[in-house]
Amino acid sequence: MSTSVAVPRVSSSVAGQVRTIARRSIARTLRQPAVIIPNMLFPLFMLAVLSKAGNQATKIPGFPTKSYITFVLGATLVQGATSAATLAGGLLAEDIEGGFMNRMLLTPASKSVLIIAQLAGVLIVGFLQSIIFLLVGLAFGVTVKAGVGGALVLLAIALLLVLLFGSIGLFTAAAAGSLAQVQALTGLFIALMFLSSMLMPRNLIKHEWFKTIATYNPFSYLVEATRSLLVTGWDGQALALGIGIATGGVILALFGAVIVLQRTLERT
Amino acid sequence: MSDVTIAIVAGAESGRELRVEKSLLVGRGPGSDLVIPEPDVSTRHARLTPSGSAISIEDLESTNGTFINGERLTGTRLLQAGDVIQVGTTTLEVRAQKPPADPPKPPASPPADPPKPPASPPADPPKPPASPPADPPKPPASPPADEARLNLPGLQLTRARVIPTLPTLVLVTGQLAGTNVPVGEQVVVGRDAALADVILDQDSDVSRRHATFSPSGDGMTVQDLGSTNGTFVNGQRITQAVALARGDQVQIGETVIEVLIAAQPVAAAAPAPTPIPEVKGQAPNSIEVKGLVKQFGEHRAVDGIDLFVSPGEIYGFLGPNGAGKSTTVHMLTTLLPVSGGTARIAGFDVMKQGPQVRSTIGVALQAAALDPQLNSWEHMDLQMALQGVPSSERKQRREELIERVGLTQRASRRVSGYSGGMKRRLDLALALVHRPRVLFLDEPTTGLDPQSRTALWEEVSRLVKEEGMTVFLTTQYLEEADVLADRVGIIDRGEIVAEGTPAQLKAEIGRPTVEVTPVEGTDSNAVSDVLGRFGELVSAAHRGVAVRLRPGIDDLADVVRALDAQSLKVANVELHAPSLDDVFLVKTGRSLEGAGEKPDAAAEPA
Repeated sequence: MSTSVAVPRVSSSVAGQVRTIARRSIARTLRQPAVIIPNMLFPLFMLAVLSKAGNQATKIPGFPTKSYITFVLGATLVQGATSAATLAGGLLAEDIEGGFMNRMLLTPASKSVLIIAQLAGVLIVGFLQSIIFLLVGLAFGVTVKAGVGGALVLLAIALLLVLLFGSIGLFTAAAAGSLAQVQALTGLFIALMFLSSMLMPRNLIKHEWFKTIATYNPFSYLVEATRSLLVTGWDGQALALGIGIATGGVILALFGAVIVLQRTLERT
Repeated sequence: MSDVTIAIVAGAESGRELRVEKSLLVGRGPGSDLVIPEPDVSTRHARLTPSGSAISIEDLESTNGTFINGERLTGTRLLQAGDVIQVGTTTLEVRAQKPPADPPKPPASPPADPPKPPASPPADPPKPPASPPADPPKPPASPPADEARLNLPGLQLTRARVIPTLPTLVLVTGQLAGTNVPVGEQVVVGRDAALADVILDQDSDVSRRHATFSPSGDGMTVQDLGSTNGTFVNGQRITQAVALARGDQVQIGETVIEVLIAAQPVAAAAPAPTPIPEVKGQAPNSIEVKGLVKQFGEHRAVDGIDLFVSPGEIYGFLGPNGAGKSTTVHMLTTLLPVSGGTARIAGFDVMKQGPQVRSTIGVALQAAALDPQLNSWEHMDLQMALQGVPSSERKQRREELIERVGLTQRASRRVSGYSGGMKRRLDLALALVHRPRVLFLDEPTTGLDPQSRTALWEEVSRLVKEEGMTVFLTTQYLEEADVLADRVGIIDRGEIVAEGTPAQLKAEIGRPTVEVTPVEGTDSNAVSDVLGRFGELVSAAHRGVAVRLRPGIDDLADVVRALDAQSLKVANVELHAPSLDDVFLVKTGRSLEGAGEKPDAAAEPA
């Protein structure tokens, strides 16, 4: 004869878990101004420098706008979004290295929820950051060719880009498990930005090798999607390519992060 | 085969009778041979073991005790027909196996008087047990023919009947195999019936007066009387009187004699402690591990360990860095998959029922895993939400726990400003939010100052005492294990090398050690030669030479005189009482890292 075994209560709802982890993610992200502010200032600084230096480019025949700040603001939004990678990835790497992830793994919460809900903080920060970039641009004479609706879509795309780069950060943190490797993404993204159509429309790039790289560089399409709403109005092809690449990237990066973390953070 | 059986005279299986032909486990756990499903019965409560023609019983550190004739059992005791065993509300009775030749006498009851020596039969007839047995107990079997070989009058009537408070010789082999001889006074073993009390006249290797066994304190000594073929204790021929310990084997000719000495003198009847509360319908909050293995590539970090932690017990898991402590904890808490073996926590399989295990356990891992950006309240809220604590209970629960760990004043401050002690206390509070039944503490006091350490020990003790929690505690600190743990397992290189209560482990080593550090390193061999005369050389913690003193040698002055006689200059002579470090030293051949280090070394303030 043996004692009966009762199954204890197991976990709260998934929605409740997501809410709880997202709240923590937002709190810890917003409480690190030393991380957020430089991430926000650097794209603004680049916007100021490039808009001044690039004014001559607007005189090139076929250049789509007379306002270089309007032209380059799309790239600023993409560049701002890339900081989500180091932010989200950095926080996850800290959780793994510091053992906090183990604390959460020791609860009945789902492992996917533990990972994906970590993005909540960077989404909030990224969204606020995009609004600030747009407002700064508007203050310095940027116009949104696609109108108010276009501005809203622009912010939605910016949010998607934050999700994309945040997911890439999570994947890197999961795969590498170290903060240093996550921070190395910053240099990679800057290089890819400058090798894209960030500063010049692809059709106006003179050097073939640069044009080829820019054509194969997905950053070009992310930049062109945001820029189209500012410069050319509603450009279905540019939007479809940008949103398609971003969405595909989010799915791949999140799936990869969850798979890698499932293996890295083994739990029975 | 034993001459007695165990009858269940009251309880769920009343009327059943057990023959103890092999070791039988009595307890509430499903792995027990005799399962007594009562809340006052520990999962592993007691063990019955055949011992020659008798049966011995050992209490396995049960929470509520095993009682023999109304007296709480401590350690091991031989049973005799008529003894009444109480485990929870179940009553067992020891009965002679052969049918009674004489009219039956009444069964035994808790004796009002201390136990009597074997030479005289009990003065008072035993009284009935709590519930009268179906059949009255049988008197002992008729004296066997072998009793003619015993010149001890008491034994003429009481073969296999010994009073367990006396040290006893159990003759395992030879012509008197199965006979138990209590040593109330000096007993002579020999071949000559006129000179010996225990006569081994069919063994030509035995001298006429071969050896004597004499009571000594709570134990006994053996001395060879100049026999031709010698007396051997645990395989070593003895040349002088040797104190015997429980389990020692003495060989005289073909006869092997096992020494049975009670671990402690049987205490007067003590009231049973308040039973630990159990949640009805829940699995026992125990830990059961069998053959647990964790393999990283070619390296076996944990190599087939077995352990069992009873509900309400504090189990100290002691070992140096890299021994496998944390790996074991990670497997038991579902953070690491198991490479082999099985492990169940509160009845749940760690490999197959991870979510259930996680709901049942609380864990404070080696480094306090906290988010420096959050305060205590936020940590508590997060943990309670993820553990599924109902919203209505959260506020009260978090305040109760934060107050209990003394963080109320600082709870609104971010953890980044906390001291090491505060972080540990918050970590403990977080592990308790969902009222776990089993608590895992992985080196909880490493780096803490004495005050924080003591506070944490008190809290852990309170959790066990008041909430009936089971605690699995890993530590590098011997003092911590000694103070906190009911039982200790020592792990080294992935294997458990010793297990028992701290007192048992130290008693197992039993004898003091003298460590001598010569002034000149070149004198080490000469010092070893001298010390070797006083006992068994053991590894020294430092550059010295150490000897575990032979029984009977307790005087450091003898050692010093012997060294002086050889003109050996020594820098330091130390006498060590047995400690858990000595246990580690004996079991592994090396000293436990940090053994001499107090837990407050490199401590952080509270």
